[in-house]
This record gives sequence, C-alpha cells and structure tokens, in this order.
Amino acid sequence: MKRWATLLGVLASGLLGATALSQNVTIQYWHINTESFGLPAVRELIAEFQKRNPNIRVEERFQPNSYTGLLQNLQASLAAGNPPDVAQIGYLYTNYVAENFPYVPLSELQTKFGGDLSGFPANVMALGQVGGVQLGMPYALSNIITYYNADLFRQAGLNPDRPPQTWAEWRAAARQLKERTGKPIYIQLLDDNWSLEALIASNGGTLLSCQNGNAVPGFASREGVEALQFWADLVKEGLALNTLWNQGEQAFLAGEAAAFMTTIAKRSGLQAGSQGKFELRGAKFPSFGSKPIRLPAGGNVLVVFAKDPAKQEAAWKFIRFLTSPEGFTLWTKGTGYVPLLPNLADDPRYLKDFIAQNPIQRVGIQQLPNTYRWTSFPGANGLAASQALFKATQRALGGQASAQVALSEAAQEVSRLIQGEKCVR
Amino acid sequence: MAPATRSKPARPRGQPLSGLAPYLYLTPALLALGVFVYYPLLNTVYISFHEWNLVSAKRSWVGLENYRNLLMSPDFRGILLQSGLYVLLALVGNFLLPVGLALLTLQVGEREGEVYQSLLFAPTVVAVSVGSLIWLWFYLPAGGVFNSLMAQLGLPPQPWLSSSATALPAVSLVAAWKYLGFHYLIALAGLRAIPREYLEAARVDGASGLSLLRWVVLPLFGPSALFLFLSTVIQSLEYAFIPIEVLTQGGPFGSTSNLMYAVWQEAFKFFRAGLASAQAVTMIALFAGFILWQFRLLERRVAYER
Repeated sequence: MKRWATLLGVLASGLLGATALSQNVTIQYWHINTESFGLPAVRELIAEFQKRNPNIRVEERFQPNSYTGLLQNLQASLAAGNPPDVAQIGYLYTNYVAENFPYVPLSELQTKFGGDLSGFPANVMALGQVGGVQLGMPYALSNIITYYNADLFRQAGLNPDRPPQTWAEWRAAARQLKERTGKPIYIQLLDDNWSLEALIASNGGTLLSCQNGNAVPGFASREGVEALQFWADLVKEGLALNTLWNQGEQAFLAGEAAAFMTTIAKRSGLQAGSQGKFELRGAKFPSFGSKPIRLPAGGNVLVVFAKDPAKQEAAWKFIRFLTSPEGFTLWTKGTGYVPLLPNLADDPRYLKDFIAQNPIQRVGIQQLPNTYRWTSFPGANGLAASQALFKATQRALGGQASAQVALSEAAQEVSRLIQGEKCVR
Repeated sequence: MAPATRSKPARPRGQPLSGLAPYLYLTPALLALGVFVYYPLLNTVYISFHEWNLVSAKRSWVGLENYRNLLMSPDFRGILLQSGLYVLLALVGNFLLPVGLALLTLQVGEREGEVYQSLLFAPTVVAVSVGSLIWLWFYLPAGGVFNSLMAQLGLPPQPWLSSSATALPAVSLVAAWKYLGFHYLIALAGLRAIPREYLEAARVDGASGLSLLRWVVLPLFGPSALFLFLSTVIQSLEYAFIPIEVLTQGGPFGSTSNLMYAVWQEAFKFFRAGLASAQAVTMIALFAGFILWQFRLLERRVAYER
C-alpha cells in the first residue's frame, strides 16, 4: 500500500514538473472531415501550425456523422467533464450550443489574448453570432452547387458548356438524359433539410416565420409546397433519385447519376473520386424562373470549450492560424469551402491561380451573395422539429403523400414542438 | 464417457457458510450488476419523469408527461408495430431458418456438414457495420447489384431502401444474414446433444422420418430451442440497430425505426433524454413481461434432461 502511494507521488510530481518546465500545451480539435472530405487538409494545417508554434501540440479527432454526430459526442464529453478545446460547430447548431453548452465567447478570447478581426466583413462574423453574442469564429462556408457529368451530357446530346440554369431547364435536360442514357439526377437528401431549404428559399419561401415575436413554421406555404412537389415529381417521373446522401454520392461517382446537387465543400473529394472516370463540371444551383436563388450557408464556426487559460490561449492561436490567409488557402484547396477573407480569391499570393484553374470552385464563390444564414428550429425540441420536416420530405418524395399534405401535417407537429419559442436571429 | 471427478470441498461437509463470508463472495458480482445494470435502470426510470437535454443543469420534473406524449403519438405506435415486425422477421431468419438448416445438416455426412457449417458461419465474423455497407451496395438504387439483376430480367428498378414497403424487410434481411450462422451453430449443437441411444431405440420401435422428428427429436431439442427462441426475440431489435443506422437511419419517414433505435435517436440525436427514457422504460417493461410469459408458458412444455 505504502509503496503504491510513493510510486503515485513520484509519478504525480514527475508530471507536474514536466508541464512546469517545458510549458508544452496539447489541445484537442474536433472536426468532421473524412479522408475524402478534407482530412488531408486538416493534417496539413496542423503540421504547418505546429511548425510555427513548436510548444503547442494539436490532436485532431474526427467525429463521425457530420455535425450532428459531433454535437452528440460533444454533449457526451461535456456531461463527462472532458470536452475538446476547439470544435467545429455546424451553423445549424449554433443556437443550440449557445443555449445549452458552456463555451468561451469570442470577445473573452479577444480581450484575454488579443487579435485583430477587422479584416472579416460584418456579414461573415454574423454567421457566428447568436442573439448578439459572438459564439465563435466562422471558419467553413459552403453553399449548394450543381455538379454534373459532362460525358453523360454529351451522350445525351446536351451541351456541357451550357448547363441548364433554371429548374424548368433542368427538368427538360433530365428527361433527355433519362431517355438517352437512362441516368437520373440526384439532389442531396439528408436529415438536416439543407437542400430542401435551398429549394424553398429559392422559390421565395422560408422554413420559419415570425408571428408576434414567436417562431412558427413557414414551410407549408404555397412556395414551400410548390418546391417540394417539384422535387417529388422529378422522383415520380424517374428523373431524380430518391435516396440518402451517401448512396446518391456513390451513384454519381459510379457514373449512374448525371448530376449531383450538393455542397461546394465536396469539390475536392468529388474531383478526386471522378478522376479518370468522367469529366466533372460545376454549375450554379438552379433557380425557379427569374426568382433569385437563395442558399442556406453550410459549414461551421470554431468554438472554444477549453477551461484552462493556457489551453484557451493555444486554442485561440490555432483558430487565428486557421482563419489566416495561409490557413484559408490550404483549407479551400483541400476541401472546396469558400474562403471567408475577402480578396484571397484575387490575390496571386493565395488563391488566384488555383481558382483560375478550378472553375468549379468559382461557382461557390460566385454564389456567395446568394448565401444566407441556415435556419434552425429554436428550443429544446428544435432537432426533433427538424426531423419532422425531414420525414415530411421523405413522405412526399416516396409518393406516400402530396407535398401539400406532408408539409401541412409536419407544420402542425412543428408548431407543437416549437410552441412559445421566440424568433432568434 | 469418463465419470466426472470432483475435488473435495475444503470446508467440512454439512457446515454452512456463516457470517459475512457468503456476502463477501457475492459482492463483486453485485457491485458490477449494481453499477452497470440496476443503477442505470433506476436512473432511467427517474429521468423519464423529466424534461432534460443530457447536459443542461436544468432538469425539470414533468411527471407522466413523457409517457402521455408517447401514448398519444402515432409515431410511437408505428415504432411499436415495426418492432413487432422486426421480432417476427428475426424469428423467421434467426430461429426457424437456422433450426431448419441444422436439421438438414444432420441428414448429410459429417464432412459435408462441416463445409456447410463454415459457409453458414462466415457472415458472423464480418463486422456488422462492414456487412451492412456491403448490403448497401447491393441495394443502391442506381448501379446496385439487385437493380442490375432486375434490369437483366427486364424488370423496373426498385427503390429498396427508400420505399416504406421494402425498406424494413431489406434491413431485417441484413440482420438475419449476419446472425444466421451463430444461431445455426447453437441449433446444431443442441440437436447433436440428443443422445443417439434414444434415436436408435425409437427406430427399433418403428419410428421414422416425421414421427421421429415430432416425437423424439423436437422434444429433446426443447431446452436449446427455448434458449434460441428467447435470445432471438430479445436481441432482434439490437441486431437490426447497426443495419438501420447504415442503411436507412430509421427512414423513410421513420418506417424502419424500432424501439431500440428510437430510444437512441431521441436521446443522442434529438437530446430529449426524458422522452427517450420513457421509451426505454416502456421497452424494458414489454420485454420483461414477454420473458415472464414465455417462461410460464414454455417451462411446462420443455423437458429438461436432468
């Protein structure tokens, strides 16, 4: 017994001595980047950062199942008192984190450790704000674009240099593709309702609206119903695939789907995946007639959860590097995310050449003015509300109910779930 | 068979353990059970009376509200129904089929039997997530194995996983495929344990074929069958969990979810721990009731060899 105590004592003093002597700090960084979706870039960024800050070690930890999965694990790690120091929080979940999690606000980091943020436009910083508080540093920004298989376009007698612009044109093209090649198109389908929101918003609708200061569902409007019914009709006619995201992506990469509406952040991964198989091109997300396209911003905010001041400082330094011109350059090249510092795209020191050679990346940047903050349902039942809308989408796409019926019923359920919640912006 | 030899107990015969000793021996097991089973169980019941998101310090008492919401929810009724379907399909795929295959294996020679055993057992060693991914490729709507076969037969492609008519059986099939081999081995071991003398005696008495099966084999197979039956029922929802997550995530519109998946989804996807706990308590109560009923009904009919 006594021997054990001595041994523990020696170990403990050894550990304490080590930290006091070298002042090395290790921080943990949680991200959602898989091998085909930015992980090489994450590794490269960390290596570069550690080279510049030899006393800081960054451990990257991949969290499966995208932002929802990361949030689940974050919730568990907070409950266990062992949260990561920096984490990527999806824009969809910023409200939830602000309401429920103990994070370190950006203003606190800036006061403690300094750092000039004046280079970031106000609308970019706003992506990381909840109720006037800056939750974290906006880092990744994506929007939904159209990728298409130029080889299949040629086979179908379509001109890949002039891709369709509107949904009506896409429908005609999809019919031609279906008739001549047998291949449908695919619009991303995930339980975060991202693509549905892009469709509804581009048709002039909204997911949420505000009534006397209270949040109420807005998706069962005429615009919302029209947009979902359009999608469901494409599926019904066999022109679009009705399947979950990973399956749709496989179909597209296997040359079994002619177009794929998904995030610009997939640009690098899809280029690698299609290499040697077919010519990949990119176009803007289609519009409904002459209505402007409106796209919810995908991506994430870097939020600090570290309690220890030394780790907070290291985390802040890391974030400052990731959002520096050098950091964004590596990040955009390795993923497809749109750089959040203006002018990087035109700066020959950073991304000018890359973007000149990469027209698909240009699409994401061109769509930036059409990008707005992703809608999240407020309150403790917000995620369940989001799921109710997703179920309605699946009902309509599967033909079990018309878009009208599916969305109206979902609106009733969402009303109940978010009853009494204030509108938040 | 050599007679079993037992070392003599150190304690003199007839003198019971006294004082603290028996409790001391029980402590490790009780501690483990207490910490990992009974405490979480009671805590789940406690949480089910609250509204709570798993991390917030705010945990508000809502009484029976969560249970009332469950009873009123058409989604929950669907989930109960689908759970029943998963159990039934598992009984076909992981009880009837393995028993049938085991009976057939007994008809072939030992050599051939071993080949079948290895073939049938193979999926068991594949990780269930990997196995589910393989099946995902089979089910892919465009370019998937099944739809390519359909096309060769001149049939239209099927949305296997995105139609509520086919998704649940499709998911259930993966679970059945994965666990078939293991259940088959249990069934085979149970059948092989039936003493040959009984079979021979029955044959001498003129029994053969079906009557041998009906009057000799199946009654003696009872204990193994009961075990297999119960474990299939109890684990059927769990068996489907990973295939559900990989293939459909409970969709389309909840039609492939079951009780266990729904509990997980409510707790760790929507962070409604109270509602999830109420679902979990309901599930535990249902299964506990089922097991009690099973034992009362079947214990009487199953003749254990003593």
